Amino acid sequence: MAIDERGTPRLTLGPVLYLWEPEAWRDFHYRIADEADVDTVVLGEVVCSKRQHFHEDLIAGVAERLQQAGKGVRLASLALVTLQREMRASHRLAAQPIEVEVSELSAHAAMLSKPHAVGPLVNVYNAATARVLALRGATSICLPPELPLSSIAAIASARRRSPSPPAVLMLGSRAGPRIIASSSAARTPMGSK
Amino acid sequence: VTTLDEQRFLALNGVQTMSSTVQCLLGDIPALLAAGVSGFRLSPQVCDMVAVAKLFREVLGSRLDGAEAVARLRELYVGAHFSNGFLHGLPGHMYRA
Repeated sequence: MAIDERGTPRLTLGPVLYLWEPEAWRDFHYRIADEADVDTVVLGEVVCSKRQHFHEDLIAGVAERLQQAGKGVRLASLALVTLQREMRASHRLAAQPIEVEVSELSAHAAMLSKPHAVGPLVNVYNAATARVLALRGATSICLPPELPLSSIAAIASARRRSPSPPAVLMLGSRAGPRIIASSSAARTPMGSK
Repeated sequence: VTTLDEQRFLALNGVQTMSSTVQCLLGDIPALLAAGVSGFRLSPQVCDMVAVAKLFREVLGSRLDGAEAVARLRELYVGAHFSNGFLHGLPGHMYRA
């Protein structure tokens, strides 16, 4: 995320990582559109491609509602691509007009250096990595939550001369850098299943 | 997921493994701004995210003290265990006020 012309820090709401009921997911974003003071909202299924069908028919309407409310919208890619259909989904994402936030590097490659955002699941641990991603089209980078302040400062210092200083995940469960095979939810928040 | 000592450890979200604690850097905003960070991100949780966004915006605008904001966040997100250990070079599940 870049500093805007007023130098005001920007606030982004990431994608819902849990499997919420479709109506709850839609209504949550409608309320965000109408009431929340955030600059950008990221939509899309990140965790598992088998969940995509629950919300994919709602995304266009939610994106339109958010945009009408003056909020920026990004569409996130999957955090792990292992199947041909998932790779095709990444390429479809790269071809559509809404800004993309990549969650892993095959989606970054699919962007073919078109401007895009990099989400916090991509391991950007140093300034050199941030520089390479920026040269390949990344206009904003949300750093992984496991970085210490010294690393954040070093990356930000190197990026400050560029138009895209990094963002930091401020509130949320830390997602591991690796997806492991598992099934049942150990913690089931209200509204999820 | 708990350890053999019944300590909260991980949360499984389908195929995704997450921390059982919720990273909260609301009290660390001045340090992050000083480090050159200009964008901040919230991950949706099951609580009033409109009110959460308002708290972060007020701290980002220097209209609210970070410690007071964290206290209000605890009231908004009852039951959550906050962490910021990684930011301070500590074990990730810890929270430094």
